[in-house]
Amino acid sequence: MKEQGYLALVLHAHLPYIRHPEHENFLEESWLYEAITETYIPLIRIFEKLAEEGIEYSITMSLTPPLVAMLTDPLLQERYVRHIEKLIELAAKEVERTKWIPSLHPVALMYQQRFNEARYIFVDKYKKNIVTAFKDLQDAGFLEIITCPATHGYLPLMDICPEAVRAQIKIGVNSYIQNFGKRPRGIWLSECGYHPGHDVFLKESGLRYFFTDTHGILNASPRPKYGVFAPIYCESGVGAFGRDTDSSKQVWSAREGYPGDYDYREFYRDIGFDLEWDYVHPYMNANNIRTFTGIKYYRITGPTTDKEPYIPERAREKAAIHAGNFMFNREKQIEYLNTLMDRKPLIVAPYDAELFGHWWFEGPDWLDFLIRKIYYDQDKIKLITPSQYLELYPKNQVCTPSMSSWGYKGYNEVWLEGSNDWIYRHLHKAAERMVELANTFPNANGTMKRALNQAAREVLLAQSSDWAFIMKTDTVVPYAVKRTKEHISKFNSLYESIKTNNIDEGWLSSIESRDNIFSEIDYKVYSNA
Amino acid sequence: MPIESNKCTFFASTQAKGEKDKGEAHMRIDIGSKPHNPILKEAKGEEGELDVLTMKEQLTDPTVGGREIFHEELQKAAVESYIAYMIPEDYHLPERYGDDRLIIQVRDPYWLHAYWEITDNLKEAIKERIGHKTFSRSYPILRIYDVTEHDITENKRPDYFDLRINEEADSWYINVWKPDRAYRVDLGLLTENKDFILMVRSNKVRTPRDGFSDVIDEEWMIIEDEYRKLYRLAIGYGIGDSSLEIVESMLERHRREMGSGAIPSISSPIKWQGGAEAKRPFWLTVQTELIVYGATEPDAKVMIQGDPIQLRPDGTFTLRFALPDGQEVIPIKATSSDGKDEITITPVVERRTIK
Repeated sequence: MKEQGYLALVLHAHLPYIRHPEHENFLEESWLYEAITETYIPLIRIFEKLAEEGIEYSITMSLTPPLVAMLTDPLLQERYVRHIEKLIELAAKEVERTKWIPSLHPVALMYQQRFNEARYIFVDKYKKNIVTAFKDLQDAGFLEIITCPATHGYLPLMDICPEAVRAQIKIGVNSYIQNFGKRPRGIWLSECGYHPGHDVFLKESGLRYFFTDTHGILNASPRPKYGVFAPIYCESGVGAFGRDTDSSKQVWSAREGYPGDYDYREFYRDIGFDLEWDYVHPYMNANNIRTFTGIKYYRITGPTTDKEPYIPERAREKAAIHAGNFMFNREKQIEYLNTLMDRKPLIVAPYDAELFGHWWFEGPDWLDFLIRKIYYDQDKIKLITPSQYLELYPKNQVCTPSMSSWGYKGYNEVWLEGSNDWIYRHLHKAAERMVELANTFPNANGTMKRALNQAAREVLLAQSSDWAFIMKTDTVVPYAVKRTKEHISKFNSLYESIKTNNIDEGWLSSIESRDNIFSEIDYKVYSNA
Repeated sequence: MPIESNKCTFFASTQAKGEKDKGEAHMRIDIGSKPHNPILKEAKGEEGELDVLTMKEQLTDPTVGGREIFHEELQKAAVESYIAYMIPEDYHLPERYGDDRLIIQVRDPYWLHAYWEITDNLKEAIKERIGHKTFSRSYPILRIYDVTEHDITENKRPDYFDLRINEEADSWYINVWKPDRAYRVDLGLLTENKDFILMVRSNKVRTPRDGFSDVIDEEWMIIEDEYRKLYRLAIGYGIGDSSLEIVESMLERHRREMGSGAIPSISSPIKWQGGAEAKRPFWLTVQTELIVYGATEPDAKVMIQGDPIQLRPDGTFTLRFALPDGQEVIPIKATSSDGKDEITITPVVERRTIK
């Protein structure tokens, strides 16, 4: 092995569970559709192409249970097909409409081609289930897919009820096994949220590693010898990998990151907001509100509201340069680390997958260039997954990571502040009651069993970190508030009806079909008896 | 080190209230085209190339750019009414669960959050026990114990401080000042005679460390200087020299700037940027589009500006073009299915914008 060090790229793919069978169209379902078109399919495309060309690479990717559940849900799959077909129709109109504007016309053609390709990959190639694309890439040895807590629950604020933490992890693992046909080796803790002691639950579920933010490792005790450039073991024996700042900042940072380059596509200027209402409104997923369509003609241009047209070739060229720059910096980092460390250093670079393509339109191109350049242009660094690194270096320092998250300010404040702190008395109570139910009814059958399983689903759905996050970031607050109240309220009703053995079967069926995540769930996971 | 005793001077608190930082999540990142990297500064070459491609072109056609048709506040209101309409069910959560309990959680190394619920039964029982008069002259407090060294027991009471709270409050943020300590909180009444009447005791939590551990593992030891270099690099400040304290403070800055939520990875499908950009001066935007429509025999072939178009089954057609400034000559040629007849009609359209 001539390489001097390793780079672990980690993509965390997650969306909250949003599925509204009761409505023909639902605005927030577009999160999923946009992410499929703009992120997941472009990633599949580049990963497959690299594999076809015989380029070796190793990427770690988490696909959260709610995301997998949505991607494998027949209703949402059908709705995506409808969505992409409408987009294709709109793109064709755009190709015509922009005919006399030479600077926009090629961009319209680009969208038309991309949407057609998305449709081909989704419908023809993967028969509407793109999870199989990721599974195939894992089976072929290119991806290491890891799991996530069941509904992306924020575990540090669940610590009061350890059974709830355990259930989030166990169900996350079970859902993974069901979808990927083997046990996951690692887990992405939601929002990188680690609370000392939770590694014990990971151990119980057979998980070998997780990630923390930089300070989770740097502030660990005893002080980790290699900082974040090698994993540590918790006392439970589970490995903890810390995020490298520099590689994160170059992609994430609003001030210094690549995605802010003036040549890159402007995210906010979308024809959904730019064009005449009668023309665009048939393509809005919410009848009377302007929304994003995904067709965006402008580049960032600079700190101005007057944007200039997007030039795809130029943006692509910039993505190649940025990939080169990123690799160059990692090489320098590795060279320097080699003067300080007595083993080959590891740089861990985790990102939200939806950053690539959705927010940073050129992100998938950048990743493609980066993987190629690492393979062809140098031999100092090599891509690796955490499991592979642990195989190379099975002996690691034992330390306790510090409580931390990758949220703003590094701890729990994003999910525990004025806008959202009211949820915890309800979430905690529901979790406690769920444990009580599981202990009281150790062997339920029939309707009772279904009610108990549904109660577990409602608790889990209420626990999604996304609701607190949306409340804090002030985007679609009423939706997040409604979802939280809805699941808690359904849980409370189930709790009462289970306790009094008075279950309305019709009502149970209706909420089962509505909140249908985790068909294989077993409520006994909450038992501590 | 235990906390010094129950003096009020070293704590502060805020009552639970909204503290929204609008615009944080949807920050626009259109500042700066150059990736900055301290390591790169020392190397020539690649950074130079980045400059070459920075766009210098000016907008050539003023009819292309323009501004969006979008009103942020109206949009937000529309989304709210949309959600209210789509999810009409109004779920009510119980205000109380009938428990006597106090739960504390860690917000960060310096702050705890407490929420509680006290039943009327408990209040009545206390009232009976201490007498109505004493009860009415006492007020509720939170008593925060530092239980790092030892927990609260019958004969040993750890150091604590008190926090007076509102009668109606059911949650509170508590500034505990010291990281890496364990805490337990009592909610109770402080009587006129300064007797503390316990109502409910919380769970125990530990705040995280806010810096590097002093504990060094002999088996995994390296010299201080190398820690410094490694940790400095880990925080993204490249190669250089600084004390571990300075490295710690850089870490603090890093945490504020790098958090999830800095960029909308799951952005709302509606546009909501928040913040100052929403306030733009009075504005007007005008764009023009041209609709060309007509009809011929359903089986005829029609070309517009040389490109074939699709007819509807009834032989009609409609085309829509964004119309920039300047003149457009639009020959529309229909040819009958047998190729024998041909008609061309050519509208000429000019747009001229006067500002």
